[in-house]
Amino acid sequence: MTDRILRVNMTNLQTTWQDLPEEYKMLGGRGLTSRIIANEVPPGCHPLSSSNKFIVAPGLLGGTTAPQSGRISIGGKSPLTGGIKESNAGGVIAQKLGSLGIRAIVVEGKAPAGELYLLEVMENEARLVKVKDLAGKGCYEVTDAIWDRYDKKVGVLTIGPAGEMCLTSAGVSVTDPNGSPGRFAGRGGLGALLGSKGLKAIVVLTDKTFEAHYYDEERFKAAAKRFVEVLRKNPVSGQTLPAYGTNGLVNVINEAGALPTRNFREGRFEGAENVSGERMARLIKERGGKTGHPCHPGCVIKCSNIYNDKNGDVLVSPLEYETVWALGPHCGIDDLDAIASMNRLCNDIGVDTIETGGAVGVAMEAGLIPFGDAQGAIGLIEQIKQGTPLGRIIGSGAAVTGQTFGVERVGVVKKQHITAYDPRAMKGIGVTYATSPMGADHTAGYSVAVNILRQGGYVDPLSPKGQVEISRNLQVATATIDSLGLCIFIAFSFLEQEESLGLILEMINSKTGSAWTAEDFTRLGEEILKTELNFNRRAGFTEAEDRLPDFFETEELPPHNEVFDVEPHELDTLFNFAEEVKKDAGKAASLR
Amino acid sequence: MRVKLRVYANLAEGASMDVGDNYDFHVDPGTTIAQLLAKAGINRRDVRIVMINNNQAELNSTIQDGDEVGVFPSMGGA
Ligand code: SF4
Repeated sequence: MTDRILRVNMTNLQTTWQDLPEEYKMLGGRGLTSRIIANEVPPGCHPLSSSNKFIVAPGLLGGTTAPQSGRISIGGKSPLTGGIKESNAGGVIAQKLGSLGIRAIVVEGKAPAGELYLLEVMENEARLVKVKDLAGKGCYEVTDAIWDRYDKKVGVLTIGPAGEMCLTSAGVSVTDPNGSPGRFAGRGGLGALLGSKGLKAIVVLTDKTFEAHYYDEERFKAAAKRFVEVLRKNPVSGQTLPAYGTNGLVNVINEAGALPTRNFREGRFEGAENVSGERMARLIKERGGKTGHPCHPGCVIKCSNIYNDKNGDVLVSPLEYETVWALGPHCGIDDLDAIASMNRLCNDIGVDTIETGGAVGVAMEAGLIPFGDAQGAIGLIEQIKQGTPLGRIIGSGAAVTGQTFGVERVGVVKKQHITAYDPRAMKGIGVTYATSPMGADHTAGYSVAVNILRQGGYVDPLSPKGQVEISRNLQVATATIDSLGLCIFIAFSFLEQEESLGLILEMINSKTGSAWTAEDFTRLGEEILKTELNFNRRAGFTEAEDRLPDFFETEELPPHNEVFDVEPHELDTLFNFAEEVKKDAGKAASLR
Repeated sequence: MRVKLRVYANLAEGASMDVGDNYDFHVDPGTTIAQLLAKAGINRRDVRIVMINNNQAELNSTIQDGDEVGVFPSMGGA
């Protein structure tokens, strides 16, 4: 079977199949979305214009039996940052697309104004269907309606009303094995991009899950099996992640004095224990929910969970650290049930929880509602769904909210909100926030592992020294992992267990017939970053955008009373492997 | 001298302590984290992250009067 790309033209409502070009053979996930964007999207285009493209791609290992291989990458020119964007999620569709040999779906053009469509994807056929009844509907309702229409085995990708309104914090929802639509490619406003195309949902109609084809299936299965054992043996992926989820970090980061509290005023939150992973795990158990839950078939780490309300009914799945932080400590809120309710609301409306929490915290800073006011926060989020002017401001993210209400302390880089680690108390993550081509994104180079968690070495979190190097190495490795479609949490094994890299290479080689070595692993990551940097340079970004907001350099953060003091000229050495991109930047800009 | 110990995640379960609560210990000057853990009935091999007064520390770091110590097993997330 030849791998293919499905092209969906929303202008003439045609779908076509394209054999996968040789150039893309070893690319998947972020590697593929970023390359297609660089090749096909004019960097200077408006993100909501018909020239922008919405790209969905499973990883190179999507549809295989490799553990953790079911992440789906969504890419495009970001309506939030104006730069290149990849955001990935779990759910069922990556394994399905991988099983069908569909390496990417590229949505281009724009439907006639006022028309809304759904895309049906089958093994050899794809169809656009006009849908009036789904307009304005939330992600939960859309998913239920689609399951009524087809069956529960289909995979669903959808946007909520925020995406239809083209709000820049709109994300993309993907259904998980339990049928919850709560798997989000949340960051960068990619839901707005899909909304601008007039496409409400993509439905993948197949039962197939682990049916990718292999160059050498036996070799592959042996490596995959061994990798499962390695992940289970690792104390993070085998014990604490399944037990406490990512939310186990609340207490760690709070104890480290790096939990951004009340819009970056303090590094410790007095209510941390109430929203901690340990507390969450206990409540889940008492209420008959579930910890140790997989977000996609083939996940063996299972950091996800199902969080029930007081009556034992499912409230949201999953409840994660970044969300808990953004809607919790960042807003001075210490009520886990209120946070879970806001999480559900965000999932339904289809907005990024991090950006939304960020914006609500900024609204609190502006005095719209007081810090700690959970009901007020819920009210603001509900206004996004209603599409009121205030709701649209909040739904446009923290930068717009800050600008509208005259707030100086707004924690964004390239207009994207910072996440749950204060860069003054953990300088490595500050380097990643500042320099990632994605805008502030902790997952792009998770220096927290080395600064605080003592995984794969140690660099003092409070010193500016050595932070650029760890961020660089992690950003490169992460770009490759995102390209394989592997969940980022394999990184804890990667950093600590030597065997990991060899097993990943063995899976790549037995899947594709290649003979990759560790150098190729690094080279791919560097190439992806160069492609992304090059796009951003051509879109008008300069090194001036690779900076944190200046309040991080001038306001000390208690309890450490530190500022962010990694020198700008050091930040500029992060991409030392991409000097030619920097030199070409001026030339490229004039060509666009 | 008196110090406070806070224990998290499965270390707390193992030692039958409440997560994140302050436990007071009387120790001699020059006591190390490892010795404090032994006193609390926590296996040092289960501990990966140590903080003294919110600062990163090691198992062989010595504690001072009034210090607040937090300990964790291997933790991850993002
Ligand atoms: S470890 Fe967590 S994020 Fe990763 S694939 Fe499993 S459930 Fe999803």
